[in-house]
Amino acid sequence: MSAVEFPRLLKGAPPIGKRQTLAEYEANGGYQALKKGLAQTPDEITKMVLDTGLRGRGGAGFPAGRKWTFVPKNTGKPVYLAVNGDESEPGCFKDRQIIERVPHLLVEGAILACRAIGANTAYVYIRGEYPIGIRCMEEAVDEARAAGYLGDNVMGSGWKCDVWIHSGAGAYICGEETGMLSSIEGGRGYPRIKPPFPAVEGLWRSPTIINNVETIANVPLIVRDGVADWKSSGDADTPGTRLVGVSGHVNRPCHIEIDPAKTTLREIIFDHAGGIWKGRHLKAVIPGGSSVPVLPNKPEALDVPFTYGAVKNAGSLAGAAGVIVMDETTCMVDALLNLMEFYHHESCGQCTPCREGTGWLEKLVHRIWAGQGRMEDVDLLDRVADTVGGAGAGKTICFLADSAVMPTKSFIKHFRADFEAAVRGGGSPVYLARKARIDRKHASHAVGAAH
Amino acid sequence: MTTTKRVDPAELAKLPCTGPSFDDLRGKLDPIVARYPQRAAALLPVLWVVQRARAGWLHPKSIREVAEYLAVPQAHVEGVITFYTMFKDQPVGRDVVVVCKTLSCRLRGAQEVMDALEDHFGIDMGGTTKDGRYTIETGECLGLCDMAPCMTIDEERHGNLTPESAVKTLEGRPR
Repeated sequence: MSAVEFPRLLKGAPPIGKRQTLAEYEANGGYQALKKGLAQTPDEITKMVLDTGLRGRGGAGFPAGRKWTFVPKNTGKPVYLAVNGDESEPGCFKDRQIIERVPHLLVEGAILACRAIGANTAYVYIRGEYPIGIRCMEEAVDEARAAGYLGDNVMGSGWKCDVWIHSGAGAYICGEETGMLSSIEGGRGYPRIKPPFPAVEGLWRSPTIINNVETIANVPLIVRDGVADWKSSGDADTPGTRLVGVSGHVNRPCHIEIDPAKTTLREIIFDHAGGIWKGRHLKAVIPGGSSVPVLPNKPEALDVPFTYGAVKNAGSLAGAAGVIVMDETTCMVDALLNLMEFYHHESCGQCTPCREGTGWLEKLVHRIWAGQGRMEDVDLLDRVADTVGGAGAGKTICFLADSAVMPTKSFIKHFRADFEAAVRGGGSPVYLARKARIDRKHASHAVGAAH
Repeated sequence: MTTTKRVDPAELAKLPCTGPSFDDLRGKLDPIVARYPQRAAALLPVLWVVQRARAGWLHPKSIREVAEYLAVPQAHVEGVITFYTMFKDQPVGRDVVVVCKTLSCRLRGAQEVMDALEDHFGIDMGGTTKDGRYTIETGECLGLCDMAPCMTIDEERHGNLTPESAVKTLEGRPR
């Protein structure tokens, strides 16, 4: 079966580098959902989203409609919506497609979500590394406000709603939902202990619903076209379409919008992304962004639909749909070292198992990479990983440590031979190829220090 | 090769704080503060405005003025600045170049791009070129994985780099 794209979110979207204007969006049916939504009760909008079974697109896959029902009634406090556009997961660039190309879809979705949860204010958090996206969103919000879709009297309904863009400044941890709240409040991006969950106590200790950009962008489609139409893509496990980014050793790194029930991981890699570059063979694939377990090149891992459930059964997670492909020449020790440097750098430092543990993981992998490893270090690495965390380990406030452990354990499980070869062969082939340069640099720094 | 030199904190205050006065920035800052129920929440967007307006970094005077403006302790402002990689508490080159070092870019040659830039400009990653034109850093995943290996120069993005094209891009921009 050849792979087919199912554009829903990106239907009529201009190419990257161009932003859909308000006029273009309106000509494409834009803000019709808002008109419809304003004639409905908030509970009716929530029920539609509940009935679709839309699952959070940030990675965890929690049902969005159910999350909305967690807002406590009549607390006397304001309710906030926080839209997570911090997209910092290595290998993920799907939300950028919405933010830069169809920002009004996100604005309309945020207004509808506010309506549903009883909020009058939404903050859209966008990572600082997306300055173009931030500008696109700010322009879209200004256009929407000038046209009366935002402000004190939304479309003449007497209902007040505002959307503000909040720029991050370079911190992966702000993509963790409570870290993002700390950042919106003007602090370091420190995650918070749950409970209380943000739906009860979030921004400024008020009820706050946090949804991913792609999740919110689906809301106008649901309200405009109805539940049955929206559910015509996907299956009961993963209803709707998914935006997927494909990168690494493929002929055509790309983003695509797929029907997850009708598209396999193999089709994503070999049809959409044109297969493995340089005529080489596939060695490994990370299907959901760097935090999920790596999969080996085996039919039972690749010939599965890209739904949450099927990828989980195959031994990994669909996560935030950042597919990272590695060819047969890849040294998995080098790839894991790169990821451990990332997690160690991005640990916020609040919890000891993460602050210290991600450092241990990096040092251990580096030791093997640089030819200083002993054979027992491979098992030591595996054991240290268990000490640091793991799926659902709950040793730390947030999932960052667990996100470092999942790749570590799966890299060892499927590619132990690479680690043992690095121990036996004096280091990773990547290290050996660069050794002269690394030694030269150390020497020149030592000389510099002596002067 | 030179290592990245950080200016001694005691010396930073002696450097000129260039750019508009804080009073001249208020017109831009007040509407931002009004978006939030508490003044302190505006810290990140306020720091962005001040950093952009004042030579791309946050001078001790800027930090003091932002703390006063938002009625938060100066230590809190410093704590926030040091948490986020894109806020700079040291002088930077006229443009900040960020070369992505994370997996999708590494798989397609990011290391070779970084090596070429280090060799060509005679600096280590994180350093500033001798003419003060570029500060060249590594960054974690920039979300441009479909154009890996990639780098950004302030708001510009450049992808599908080779060692040669990366050098050429930086040398070829108007001075």
